[in-house]
Amino acid sequence: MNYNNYQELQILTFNIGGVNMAVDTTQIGRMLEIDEAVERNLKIERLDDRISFYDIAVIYSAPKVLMINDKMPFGVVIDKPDDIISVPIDSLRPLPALISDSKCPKAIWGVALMNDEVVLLIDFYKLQSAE
Amino acid sequence: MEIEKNKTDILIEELKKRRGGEKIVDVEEEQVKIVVFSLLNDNYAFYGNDIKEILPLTKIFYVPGAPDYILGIINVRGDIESVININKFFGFPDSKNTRKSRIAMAEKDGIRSGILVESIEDVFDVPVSSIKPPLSTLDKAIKEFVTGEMIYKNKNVTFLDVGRIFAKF
Repeated sequence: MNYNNYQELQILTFNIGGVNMAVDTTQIGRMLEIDEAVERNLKIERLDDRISFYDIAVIYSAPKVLMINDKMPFGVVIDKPDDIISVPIDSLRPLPALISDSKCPKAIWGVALMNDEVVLLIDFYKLQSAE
Repeated sequence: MEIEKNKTDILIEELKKRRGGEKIVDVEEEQVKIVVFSLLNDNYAFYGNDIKEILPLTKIFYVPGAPDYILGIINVRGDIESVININKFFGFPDSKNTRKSRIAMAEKDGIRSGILVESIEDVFDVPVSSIKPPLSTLDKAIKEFVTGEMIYKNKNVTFLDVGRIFAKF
């Protein structure tokens, strides 16, 4: 399958530390409550442990665990899951060169333009290699 | 019958010829456009060729994990551009954002980014010869990014090379 086969991307939007983010829904196995993940003894990690927010204090007010499609040995804790939406491929942009060429975690692979908002696209499969 | 030219006519004609032949040729000195901006009460400049546009301060979206001297990204007519915190890049204290704050969109060697500055003081052409080599006593933090200096409104202006800044990333 090549780029031309993709017309749109279905994403789950969420917010962490005031930053709008989203993940391709095909990467998500299921969404669990924190308690449920703990009861099942699943390994979970906060997203901001994988992608540094530096000195910004990240407080989770409505956390959920996203279990990734069998490919990852842990669940990722996100905050404030908002919506599942389809965004046209035309509204996606790469990260600017100074960011993508830097030590910025490669898990942030692009940006979706949604009205006046910018949503960072996270590749959960690449989180394992993130800082 | 030919009218005989009198002496003054002949002299005037001759003087006009000489004047034409002695036209003063303006030697145009090579000029360069510069963009002067302020940072913590000092003046700095970028070369105009490296600055594509100057934008008012707009909403900057934070990108976690990016170098801390990148403030985030902005949406410029549908294109996503990074914004550099030049204060932090040089290790200076942060400036306050005000109504005068501007984002200078810089481009060099195919790399493009905004640079947040306190204010744009002026944009004008100067003779290349008026830009002097940088002082050897420059602050170590910025020395490697400085290409020259000049006096503007009785104040020193330090010229910064956008390419050298981008190369640090």
